[in-house]
Amino acid sequence: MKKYEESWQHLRKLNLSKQQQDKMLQHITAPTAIEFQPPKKSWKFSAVSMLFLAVLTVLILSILQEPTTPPLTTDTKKTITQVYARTNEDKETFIAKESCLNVPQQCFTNKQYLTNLQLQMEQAPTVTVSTEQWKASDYFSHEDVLIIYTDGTTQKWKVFSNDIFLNVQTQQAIQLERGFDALAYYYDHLRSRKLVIANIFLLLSHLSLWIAKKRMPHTERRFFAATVAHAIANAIMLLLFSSILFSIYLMNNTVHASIIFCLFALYSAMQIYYRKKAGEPRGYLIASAIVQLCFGLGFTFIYLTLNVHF
Amino acid sequence: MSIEELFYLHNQTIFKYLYYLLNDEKLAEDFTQETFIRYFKYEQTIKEGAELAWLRRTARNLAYDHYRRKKLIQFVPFLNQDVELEPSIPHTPHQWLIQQEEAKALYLAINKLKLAYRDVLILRKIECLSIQETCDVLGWNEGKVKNTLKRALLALKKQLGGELDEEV
Repeated sequence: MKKYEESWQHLRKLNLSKQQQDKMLQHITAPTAIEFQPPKKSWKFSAVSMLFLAVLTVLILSILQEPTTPPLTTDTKKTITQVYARTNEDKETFIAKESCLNVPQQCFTNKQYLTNLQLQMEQAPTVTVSTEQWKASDYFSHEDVLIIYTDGTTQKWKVFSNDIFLNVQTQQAIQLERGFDALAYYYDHLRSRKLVIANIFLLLSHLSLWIAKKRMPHTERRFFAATVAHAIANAIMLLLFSSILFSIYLMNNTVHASIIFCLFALYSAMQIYYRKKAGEPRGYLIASAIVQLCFGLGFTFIYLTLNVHF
Repeated sequence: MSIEELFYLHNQTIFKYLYYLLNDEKLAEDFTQETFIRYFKYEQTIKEGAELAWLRRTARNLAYDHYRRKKLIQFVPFLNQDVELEPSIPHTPHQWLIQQEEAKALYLAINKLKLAYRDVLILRKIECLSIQETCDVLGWNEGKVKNTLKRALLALKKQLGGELDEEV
């Protein structure tokens, strides 16, 4: 067995020559003008920037779209196929829309629920509603309920006190035997299953993050952002995307799910792009993509649990 | 302390550290220069007495960033032994280093180790820093420094064909 003490000593004695040191010091203390000139870069558009612009354009165009109003009918044999409910405290406006993809609103397609609701509505006695009653019913939130029938026609109802339905078109009011929210609660049999799937995805995201950190500990502190520039870009993007979503919500009283998915996909793509640009290892890029995907799926299932009742 | 004084006081330490970490004399020179340029840029924010620690950390960050950019952090990017050891430019630190056969073997063995092992070996065995000083430079705790050093010495022993008897 050798001690290698002399060799360690030899390694310790490694030195720069005086000439090398002087040259280095000269570079440090007297930098040339060229060194301090910022490099001129020509305008370049990366693929991600192009994608960003394309998505923004599509979003702006989608905001400008006009909603269509379906026709009314008095057919008595029709049955309910879909119900959309949306919390709205304003008596004058009706904001529920015909799509399960409009966030945030409740969407009911469960057959048992729809049959039960129709039966209750048919059997419900007519009542008269005064403005005082409307104002006084503040224990339950007011709901706009849009009912779609088999023949494609719609009925718009305003629900207050949880059981009084006021038809927006005819101003006729009926009082149901059971509360509106109770109906939704009892007929979603997939609720717990959806919640379990959501939690699995959220746990998977944590797991992939944990594995990535375990395998690549040198990047442990850089998960949120690869570089300082990335952290700044991240913050700007989050602010920009949340402002876009909030603006759309203010303008339309709803945000279409496709817009949210588009922006989230774009944000995820930019995350991966920046990480790649910063030289993060391939394994970390994959882990980052899996985390984004799991987050997206997890929150989608949470939303389905709370708002979409199959 | 003036710029010149600080440079002459610490440049050898920083160069040595970078040289063993990067295995590239020219790159080590460039990064030493860059470390001092950064020091003078952020001089106002550095505490008095903590200059060397700051320089070491900056040098380490530069080296790690270099490896990360090159995507070489997971394995050892050591130079081709036969090509690199040819004496092309005489009187360089590298040429001086490989004059002693045993030191050359040790140097080559160190450079075949992974980056974390190399880092801790340079600081503890070449720079002769204490455990606490090594912790400060690497940002690790005492246990991690000791364990990594132990593993690094075992790996080094393996590289040298079992011919090493060192204590942690």
